[in-house]
Amino acid sequence: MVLYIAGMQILVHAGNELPIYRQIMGQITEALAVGRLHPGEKLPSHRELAEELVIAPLTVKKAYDELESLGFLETQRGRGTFVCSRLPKLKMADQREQIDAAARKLLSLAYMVGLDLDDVIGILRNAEDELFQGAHTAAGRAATKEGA
Amino acid sequence: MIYQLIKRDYLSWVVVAGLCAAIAVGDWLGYVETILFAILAILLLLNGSGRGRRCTEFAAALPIRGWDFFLARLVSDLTLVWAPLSVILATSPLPSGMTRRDANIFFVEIGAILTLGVFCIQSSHVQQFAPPRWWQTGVVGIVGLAIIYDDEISPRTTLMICVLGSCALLLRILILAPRSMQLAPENPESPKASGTSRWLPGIPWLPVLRALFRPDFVMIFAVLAFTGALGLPFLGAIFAMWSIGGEVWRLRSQNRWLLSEPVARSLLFALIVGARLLSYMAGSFFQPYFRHQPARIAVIDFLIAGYLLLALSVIAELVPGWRHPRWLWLRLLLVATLIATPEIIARLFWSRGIYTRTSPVEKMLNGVLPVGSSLLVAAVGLTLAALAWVVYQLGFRQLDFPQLRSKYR
Amino acid sequence: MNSVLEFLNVVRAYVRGVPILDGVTFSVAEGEVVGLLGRNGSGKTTLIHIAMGMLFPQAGSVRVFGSSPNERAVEVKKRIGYVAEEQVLPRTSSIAELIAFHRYLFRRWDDTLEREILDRFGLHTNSKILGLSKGQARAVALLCAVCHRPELLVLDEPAAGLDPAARREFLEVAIQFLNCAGATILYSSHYMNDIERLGSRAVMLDGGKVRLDSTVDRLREEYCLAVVPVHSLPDPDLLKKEPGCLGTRMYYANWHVVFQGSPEQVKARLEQSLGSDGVRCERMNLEDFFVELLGGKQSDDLS
Repeated sequence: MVLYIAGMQILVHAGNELPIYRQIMGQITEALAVGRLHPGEKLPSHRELAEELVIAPLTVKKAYDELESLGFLETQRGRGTFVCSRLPKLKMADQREQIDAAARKLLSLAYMVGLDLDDVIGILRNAEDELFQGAHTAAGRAATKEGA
Repeated sequence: MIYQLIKRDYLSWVVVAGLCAAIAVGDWLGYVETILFAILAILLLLNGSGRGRRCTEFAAALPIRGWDFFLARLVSDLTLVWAPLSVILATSPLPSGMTRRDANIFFVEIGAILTLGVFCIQSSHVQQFAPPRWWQTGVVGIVGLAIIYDDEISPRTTLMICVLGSCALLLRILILAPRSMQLAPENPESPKASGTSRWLPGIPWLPVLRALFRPDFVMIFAVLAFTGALGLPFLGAIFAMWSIGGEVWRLRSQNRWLLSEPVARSLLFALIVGARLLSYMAGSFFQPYFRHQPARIAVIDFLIAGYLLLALSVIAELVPGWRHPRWLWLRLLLVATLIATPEIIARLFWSRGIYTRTSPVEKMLNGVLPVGSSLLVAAVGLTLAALAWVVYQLGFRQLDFPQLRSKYR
Repeated sequence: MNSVLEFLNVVRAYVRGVPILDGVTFSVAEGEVVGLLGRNGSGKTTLIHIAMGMLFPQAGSVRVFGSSPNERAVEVKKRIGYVAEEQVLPRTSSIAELIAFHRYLFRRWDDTLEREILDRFGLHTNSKILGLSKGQARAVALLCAVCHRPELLVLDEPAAGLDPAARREFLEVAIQFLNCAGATILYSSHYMNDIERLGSRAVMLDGGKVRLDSTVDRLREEYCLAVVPVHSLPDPDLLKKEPGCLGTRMYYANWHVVFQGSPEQVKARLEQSLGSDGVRCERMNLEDFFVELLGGKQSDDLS
């Protein structure tokens, strides 16, 4: 039986800072990181996702291909695209640019409203709790389903 | 394929059918003017703006051969020419001084000249969507003149010229027709005098005048002056109503910018209606030469025609829900019928079967009204002005969004 | 790889001496989606008309499915679907009549797709074109173009004048069409978001020639905008000489320069070679890219 992904809703915006295929890659990897997406789950085919998001199927295919080359996804002929059972760790050098940019943005926003570095660190801890709490709830739900 | 192309143009078939019906009615009533009306109508319809067009961009993108478009257009135009003429051949009363045979030959000659005109129009700029407007109007004008001066040449010569010419032009079309219709000429035009404008006095109202009086107006002026000179007030009134309706429709659809400008509606109304009445008036001053009537009668004729025109505009405007452009043809039909009814009744009662050049209504008017009374002319003129004001108030003021108006009424 | 559409040095002028297209060369392979970008009047519609056989190129050649669209017009057009902004459907026809006409002209017809489009846009087959809104009329044109499963779909500003929801629905139909194998799309549009969604290759026309021809993702990722204050560098020629410079224009008190490269690399390179430190480099989205490269008065174009 194939589990359809209920917990991963992908949203893309044209005209965003990132190209669309990168947005998809980012959202899939984020879902994997916080546990909304589990190893071994089946992803929608690129045609289905393209129709749902109203983007070209080739863009979705590009995102899937890039994730496959990074080792996150695998395509099984005739069955579809699945998350790999063993996820690789992303190299920091690849992501450094994005992390730095995000950090700069966060700090400048915070300073504009008068928060200092310690406040920002507190906010970051709260965010971590929220993210992983969600993941634990989803994991718990999946466990009860399997157990039942 | 040709049938498929033609059948989608059913509006033009409705017009042809209506024309044939109108001719049949006029012939049954014994009007000889119907022939003139029919030829005029055919010429005007051939000159119509959509008429010369062989295809639209929509059709050009479809897998249809170029000469299928041409054949469809030729079939449509030739039907426009020959269907009314067949009705005339079958039913028309004889013009004075002609035998049946002579009349039939005359009608066939006219048909042949018109056919040659159709081929002339379509054989120009064969590769493009439509021949240029100036060519179309020019050919129609020359064909009109040829019909008027047709007496000069013997029927046999005319028929031979027309048949040979038409065949030659048809061959030309078939040889040159492209497989794919083109939007523009193959070679670039020279940087022409579109940069240099003709000198015109610097009137600020020039854009308004240009919008209301396009080069087509020359034809409208000519037709109205013609009917005025020949003393045909009813024909003139029908044509003027049709042309005013067309102008109003064009104002609503193509010249909306004019409606949103701070230009008084009364001015637009005066320009549109006044230009046509003045055209008729200009022609009616030549009545002494054509119909041996004093000019005073001509002016009264003109005022009566204008009176009828406006009276019936009021009636047409008062009918609710009829201002939608879709109903324009129905309204004009009603107006034409109303204009024709007194004439029809008069003819049926008084002079059935006898053709007289002076209409009974006019004879009656000449008997009742003292000829040459300037006071009378002034009185009729004032009533005319009052009626014009009423029509303007009721119908002309709110030209835009007629559907909205009827919704909130 | 078969090329579905090929332009080779196409030249077309309407008035002698003023060529709208002056040597346009590119080709579209099977399955590609190509978007034509350019200012109004830069020749996008002219190029599309040439591809459809409605205009002769005065020099150069065009090949559609390997044949000339003027010579073998009917065979070529049987495999193309066309939707244009200005294309006026016959107003007195009803939708059913138009569909019947298209069925007669084209051999294949997809009934399910037809029903789906009619349902999605809420169209009734008895309505006359006259009474439809702009979006509905465009949807009917799209229906007629797409339901015979053409191999090439040519769209000339198909979304112009439509409200955003109608544009999105139009895109949805286009993407459904893309999902059939072998579908190729050539379109021109001003809506950059739509171009990004269709994931196309972008061909930018400027001055009658192809200025830029690359995929949208590469345009976003491999180019950036450098903003250099004028007072620190009065002479723009130095900027033009920098490698990777695509275009320079003055905007208020700054030079806006489009460079090929990542923002950090370009910033470092500029600061090193020009010695100025007020340089700011950023990535652009497609709309800004368009404006920076093609915007401004013609006299401002210093590249």
